Amino acid sequence: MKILSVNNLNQSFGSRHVLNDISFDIKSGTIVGLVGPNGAGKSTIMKDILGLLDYQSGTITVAGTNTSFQDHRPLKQVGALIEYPGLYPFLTGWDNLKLFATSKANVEKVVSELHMSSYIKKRAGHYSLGMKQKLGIALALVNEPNLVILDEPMNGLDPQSVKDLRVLIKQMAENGTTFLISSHILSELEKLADDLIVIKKGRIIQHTSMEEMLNRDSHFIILKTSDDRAANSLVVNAGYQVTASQPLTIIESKSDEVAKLLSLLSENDIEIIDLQHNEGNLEHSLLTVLAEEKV
Amino acid sequence: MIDLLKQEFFKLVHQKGILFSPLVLFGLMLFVGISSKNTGDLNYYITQSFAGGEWADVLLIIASANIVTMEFEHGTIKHMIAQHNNRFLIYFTKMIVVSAYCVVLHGFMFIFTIVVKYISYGSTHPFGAIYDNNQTVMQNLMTFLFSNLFSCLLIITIVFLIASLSRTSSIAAVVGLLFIFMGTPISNLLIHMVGNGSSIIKWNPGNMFNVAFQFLTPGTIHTSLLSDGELIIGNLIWAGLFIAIGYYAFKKKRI
Repeated sequence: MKILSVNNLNQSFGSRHVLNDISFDIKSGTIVGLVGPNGAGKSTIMKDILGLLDYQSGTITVAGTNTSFQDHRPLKQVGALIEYPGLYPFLTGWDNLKLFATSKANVEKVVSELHMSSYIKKRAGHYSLGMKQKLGIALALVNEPNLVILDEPMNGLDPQSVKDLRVLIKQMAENGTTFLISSHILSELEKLADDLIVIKKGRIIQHTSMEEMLNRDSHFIILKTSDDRAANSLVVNAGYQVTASQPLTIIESKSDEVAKLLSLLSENDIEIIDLQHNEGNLEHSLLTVLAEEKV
Repeated sequence: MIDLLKQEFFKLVHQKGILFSPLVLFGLMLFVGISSKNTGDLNYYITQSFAGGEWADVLLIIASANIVTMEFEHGTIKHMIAQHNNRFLIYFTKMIVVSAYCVVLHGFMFIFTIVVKYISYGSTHPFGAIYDNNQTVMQNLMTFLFSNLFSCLLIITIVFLIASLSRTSSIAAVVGLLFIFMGTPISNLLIHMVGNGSSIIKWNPGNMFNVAFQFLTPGTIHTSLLSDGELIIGNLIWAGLFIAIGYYAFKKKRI
């Protein structure tokens, strides 16, 4: 079931077009990463979904109901952290949560899940950057929303908090909560997201699964053998692309081909002295996609 | 709307500035009371609530500027908009809350006037003595408080409008103070300069603040050139206009 549907969304500020014909759907219970360079339009998409901006054309539906700047009733089932945490500095963390929470039990639950008990009764104005960020995330999660929109949620968080948040997001997604997360910390997004939307200059240039995205990246093997010359001609004859002969660097497209390659060499009595296998990573894949795409 | 009202009152009473404002008001009124002891017409100070009206206006301007701009400064407007599907309700609820704060401040002004009078003047100048307009000092004081309260309607709507156009509460408060304290003298000067041709100019918003003086001192009609009824209507029309423009600015304010 689709929880969020964005169709032909266009957003301009004066004569400047920020979003061009943005369309995508998000299924319930998935974690979707929204990535792209600074100024690509990620926060604008999120703000449009949240009814904070008045878009020029297109439609946005949350759980099948249209939402817009004028009428955004479906947002009751959406939690969000956009740009920076919106907090009242003169209120305690607890009061900030209580102000927007539907029940005290929800506040207690989110405080415990995010390990905020030690400082939740202090004024939010006295919090560190990381504490404020956690409180902002808690505000997004406090009413157990069906859809959570998080813009750079890892900002300012210490490694333990990043790990805790990752675990919590995964757990909530398993229970049916959908996440749309924008982050420049690609290593974290790689661990979290099921799908990825890549945006550049206000246009979606990729909407794919994380697995596919990672498979786009060149997998290559660097080999040191007992006879590099013989190994070179063997792998070239077998159809592999060799980019360097010393050390022998072979590009392969699928990870299961590593085993085939190794058995080919051993069948021909070539001993493998050293092997380095480069798996795909999101950063490399994303940079490749962004460089390839001329918008 | 009930939820919004609860939220706004909760935020208001948790601000130190708001909590301590009656104390500040009392201190300032006491200062005026004690320093006026050896001046001429002491009943005047009592009926003017020891300048409490002006101080209350200042506190009200600061509170009005803050209640609008803080949501944008702290980014909390994002939660409010997501939770409440109606920007006008958010804007209007804030006005109701500030109006209630204004009423409370005037209640304090009344109590403080009695306390400061006894601290400063003792049992002389009783509230039952006849003063202006053949009315007792107490009646004059009550007229002043009610007319000042009425003039607050225009103050709140103007400051809300300015705050919706401003980036910070301090800018909104300064512009609001300038507008409200300079508006009437500039208006009076303009009307005086234009003389008989002032039929349109007399309806300017600066002239509307004369309502607070005119109820207490009917002679103000020679300056305002508007009757009490016209001033009330003028105040309401301008307030309506400021609400409409202010809401438009609030709705379109970049988040």
